[in-house]
Parts: sequence; structure tokens; C-alpha cells
Amino acid sequence: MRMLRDTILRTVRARRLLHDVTLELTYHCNLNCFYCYNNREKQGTPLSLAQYRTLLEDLARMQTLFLMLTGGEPMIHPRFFEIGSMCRELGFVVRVRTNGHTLFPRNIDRLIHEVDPYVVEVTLHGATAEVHDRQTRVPGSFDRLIQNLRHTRSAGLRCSMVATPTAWNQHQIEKMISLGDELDAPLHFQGPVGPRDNGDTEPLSIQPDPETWYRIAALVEERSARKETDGEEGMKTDSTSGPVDEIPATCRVGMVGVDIDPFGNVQACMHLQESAGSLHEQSIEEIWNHSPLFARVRQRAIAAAAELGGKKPRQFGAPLFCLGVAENCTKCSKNVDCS
Amino acid sequence: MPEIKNNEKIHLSGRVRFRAIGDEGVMVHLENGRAMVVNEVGIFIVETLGRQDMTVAELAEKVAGAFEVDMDQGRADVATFLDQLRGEQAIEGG
Repeated sequence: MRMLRDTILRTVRARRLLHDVTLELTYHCNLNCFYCYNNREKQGTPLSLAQYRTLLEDLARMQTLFLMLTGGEPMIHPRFFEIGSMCRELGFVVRVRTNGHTLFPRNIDRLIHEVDPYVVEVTLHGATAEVHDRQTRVPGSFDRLIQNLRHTRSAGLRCSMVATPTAWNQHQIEKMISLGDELDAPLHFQGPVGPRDNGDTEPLSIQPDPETWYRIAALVEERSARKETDGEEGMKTDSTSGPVDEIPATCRVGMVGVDIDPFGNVQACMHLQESAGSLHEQSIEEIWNHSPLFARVRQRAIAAAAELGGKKPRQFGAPLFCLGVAENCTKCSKNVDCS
Repeated sequence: MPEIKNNEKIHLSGRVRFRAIGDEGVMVHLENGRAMVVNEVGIFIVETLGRQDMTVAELAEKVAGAFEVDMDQGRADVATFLDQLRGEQAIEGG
């Protein structure tokens, strides 16, 4: 037996297996985060429980291993536990990405027994109630999150936290990392704050200072080095991370994973709103094997990398280049500097 | 988990997830978070134990039949692999 990463991911890519799927169960949410990227005006017929069963059975047959249940807030989907239970029954490795607002003891118990997730990832917006609640725009959300997270950890569920650096929380970066350590829920940073999926640029008003990202990079590097010295594993990455691509591209869009929105649209990425096909009309297998969209976005990621010419990407200061964020910028009718 | 007895039925831990990936397989143990790659015979054993409880001898017979090896070879392959699975707490007895 060997450890995962390189070998298996090479096979997954070479055979173009659909290894990793994100299910956005709903765009509804019980928080009201200032920079939320979801387009809540997006319309469609939500997938039924029977359609989720068909989808999950198809994915299991296609040997998909990793599933992320997200939203909106996935745990407020009326059939969340039934869908989660099917995921468990069909043998997926499940990540639940939640804001943690409904991680009450009863729901934690149901998560453990009905869903059995690999990890529960919660979103942290600040190290204090003042900052966190300012971003979620729901008073009391910080205290509730911390309490719920303590319960979740003490019940034995593996937890981690994700945070998006903003102008409002950038002074608390170190404190947020310490809070993650204290709660035994390691903190990872994501970003950047970009325009909403409908092109609305309002979130850009809380972009952090450019140097914030450099500070974060230095902190992450320092912690990784410390962990290596202490003999611990470095920060874990998701299943699509790993060896360098054979052809340089800005991300692995179109290669091993898809995003499925609440209305059954299959997208190459949650930020790229173009649909490769609808699960109301076709099976996931047909869409994955026959839609030209995946090859097209892959080519765009390759072209974007070529344009960078070996330079490290930066997008709104963050050390990455997301095609979706770039595309959302083009929807913007306001005169905003997105360079 | 103590050593497996010949007549003891074993099964895959309910906390192990796996998939066949090409000629190999990948296993993830939800408990310890470890992910492992197993070879063709390995994923066959994992899939078989995921479906039903079996003794080492029954499993060896299945492996010998599926991979056209003699019983001795099948038994040896199974024993080696089960030792590794035991070390990973990926199988349970009884």
C-alpha cells in the first residue's frame, strides 16, 4: 500500500475519471455574509431526492470518491440528512462545508450516525464576535459558531475552518489561526474576495491590503516548516491537489471534478456559471463524457497559464488565478479596477 | 486487532471508503484520515470484504479463482495484504 497523491492522481487524470464532485445543495442560507459570491437570483427546478439518488448511484458506479456538500448553507436543505445518508451508503468520502450555525447537538448526532463525514469544514470570518458578526451580518453568529464547533469536536468529528481574508478581518489573521489551533480545527485561507457570480462587485469594497496575502503566505510557510521539524504532517490538501500538471494550467478545472448547482446544472467549477448539461435532461455520465465544455475550460486554464509566462499568478492580491473570478469581472458594468 | 484465525469471518471496517481507479484502488480511512493506494489484487480483496464477511480461506479461494493463481499463492497474497489492512485497522473480525 502506498500513500495517495501522485500515483493515483496521475491515473485519475490520465483516464479522465470524475474523482471529485461538489454538490451545492441550495443557495439559501441562514447567514447573510457581505461578500457571499452566490447568485441568489438564479432560478431553476431543484433536484428531487429521487434525482439525487440517481446521481449518487451513477457517481458511485463511475468510481467518484470525494463529494463535498455545500451551498448556500447545505444543512438547511430540507433533505440534507437523507442526501448525506445516501452518500454514506454509497461509499463516498464526504466533506460537509457549512457555516456551523445549525451544528446543534442533535444535528451533530445525526451527522455522525447518518452521514459519517470525513470532515466538517466551517467558515470563520474573524477571531472576535465584532468582526465575525460584521461579515455574517447576523448578531450572535460568532458565539454560536464557537459553541457549536466545540460540541462538534468533542463528539469526535474531524473539523477544519476556512477563512477569506478581507479588509475587516485582516488585522486578526494570527488570532484566527490561533483560534483554529485552540479549537483543534486547523484554519485554511481561501480567496480572493471576488465579484459575485452575477457580476455584482459590491464585495470588492472589502478587499484586504495586498500585503495581507504575503503575510498569510509567510505564516503558512512558517507553520509548515515547524510541523515538519516537529515530525507532523504538513497542511493537508484536497484530492485535486498534488503533482504538477503535465501541461501548465492555472487550475485543474475540467480535469477531475465538477460542481452541480441546486438546479441540476453541471458546471466545471462553482464560479463558472456556464452549464455543461442539466441533470433534468441527461445523466452525469453523459454530461461528463460528452460535453465539450470541460475541454474548453481546460484550454482556457492552459491559455491563462501561458499568458502568465511562468510568472506566479496574483488575483486581487491572492496567489492564484481563478477563471471564474476573471469571468465574473467581465460581467461587471461598473467602472471597477480589477487588474 | 489480534491475529486473524483461519475460521474467523472478517469484514471491511465501516469507516473505510474505497474506489477502483484504473488497475489500482484507493482507500480512505475516515478514522485516521489516511488515504492509500492498493494494487489490483488489493482492491479485489477490499471490494470482496466490503460486500460480505469471509474467512481467510474463502478469500484465498476467491483470489485464486479471479487471478488464476494456485491456492498457495492466493493464500500467501491474502495473508500479506490482510496483515497490512489489520495494521491500518481497516478490517474487523467476528
